[in-house]
Amino acid sequence: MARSTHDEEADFDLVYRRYAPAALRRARRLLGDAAEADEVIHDVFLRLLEHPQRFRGDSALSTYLYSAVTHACFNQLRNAQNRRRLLERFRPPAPTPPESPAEIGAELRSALLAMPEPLAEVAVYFYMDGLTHEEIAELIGCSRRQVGNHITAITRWASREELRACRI
Amino acid sequence: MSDLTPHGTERIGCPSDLRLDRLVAGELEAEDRAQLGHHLEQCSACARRHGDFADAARRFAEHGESFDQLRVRVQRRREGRQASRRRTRGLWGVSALAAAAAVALAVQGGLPLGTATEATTRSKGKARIGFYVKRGERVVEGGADTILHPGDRLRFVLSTPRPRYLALLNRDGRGASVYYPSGERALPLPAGHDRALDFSVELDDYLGDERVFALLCSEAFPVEPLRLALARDGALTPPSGCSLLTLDLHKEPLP
Repeated sequence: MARSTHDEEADFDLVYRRYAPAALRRARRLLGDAAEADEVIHDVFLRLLEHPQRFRGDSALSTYLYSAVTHACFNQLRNAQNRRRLLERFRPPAPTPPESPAEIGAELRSALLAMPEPLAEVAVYFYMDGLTHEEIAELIGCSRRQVGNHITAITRWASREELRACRI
Repeated sequence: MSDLTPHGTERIGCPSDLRLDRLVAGELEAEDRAQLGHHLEQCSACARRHGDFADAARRFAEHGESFDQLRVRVQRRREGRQASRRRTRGLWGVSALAAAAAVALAVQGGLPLGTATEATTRSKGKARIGFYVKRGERVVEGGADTILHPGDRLRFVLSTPRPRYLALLNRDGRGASVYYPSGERALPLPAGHDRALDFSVELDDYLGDERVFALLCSEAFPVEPLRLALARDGALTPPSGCSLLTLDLHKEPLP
């Protein structure tokens, strides 16, 4: 017997209730803004509702959502960065705020946005989330050795950027 | 990038958030569960982390909003933002110089303001109230969908086609108070568009919904009787010759 729309909606609501808290926590951590995190979570779960086939089932749903939320947060940060650039054309420069953990978070986000995306994704998983090479390999669909290569590339990229900043 | 210090979970053997989330979601195999359980028995920091995640999941399952509720909330926020953008574009299109002057004036006042918001319904010739939020060094236009946090500073803006006397009161779960004026009687408010009041409010730790009432009258009036009525009834009835504007605010804990 075919499943009714009501059944599917009830299933989806169960999935949402089970997985949303972790997804939301992650989005808030990456974005540093509760309202933006809500929007990201909304979009990620809406895509899952409208295109359930995107979750192919070759990994756990937590893992799939972890990766989907990370990508969505990167997009959100890029959009926010673009919006800020536009706004800065119309606003006087703000005084430099004192350094605090929140500002360091913002600095880290800027650095991640400057990094090539495949490296940025691995950098978030390894440096921010503290995932193991094995977990990262599952998330991005590659071998542990390739994860190690990515981390080496991140270190080199960071050294180059620091060197460039010194020259400036 | 020197801030990037690896957590090094592989070195110290503690599970990642993802692994704990998978445990809470019931996704781990028995062997993995047992291994993790053994670690949690010996590591109080991870046990606490796991407890926090499990509590949050339980609370959300029992009392969290449904996806439909989230959808409505996000939709409203996006509509509000689009309306605000339309309004902002329009203003710059008419007079970029006027917008720049407004920003400069507001900065001198200590709190930079943008252009008019569509947070409340506005039509030419009608009174309206809006607000701006200062969070750290960032200032954003407030709207019906804006989520506020303790420590945010609010600055209200009012438009009125003719000179009025103004008082600003608020009502939340604890009772009623007066935001403006600090004296006993309402103060004059000249006619103008999006006029920023000369004070700002720093939000305290009390969370939830709050309603702000702006009472505009043709004559000065005492404020305390209104506060008492608001505390008692939870609402205000504007006296004859007065108009009442309301603004709903929602405060949540800092993420």
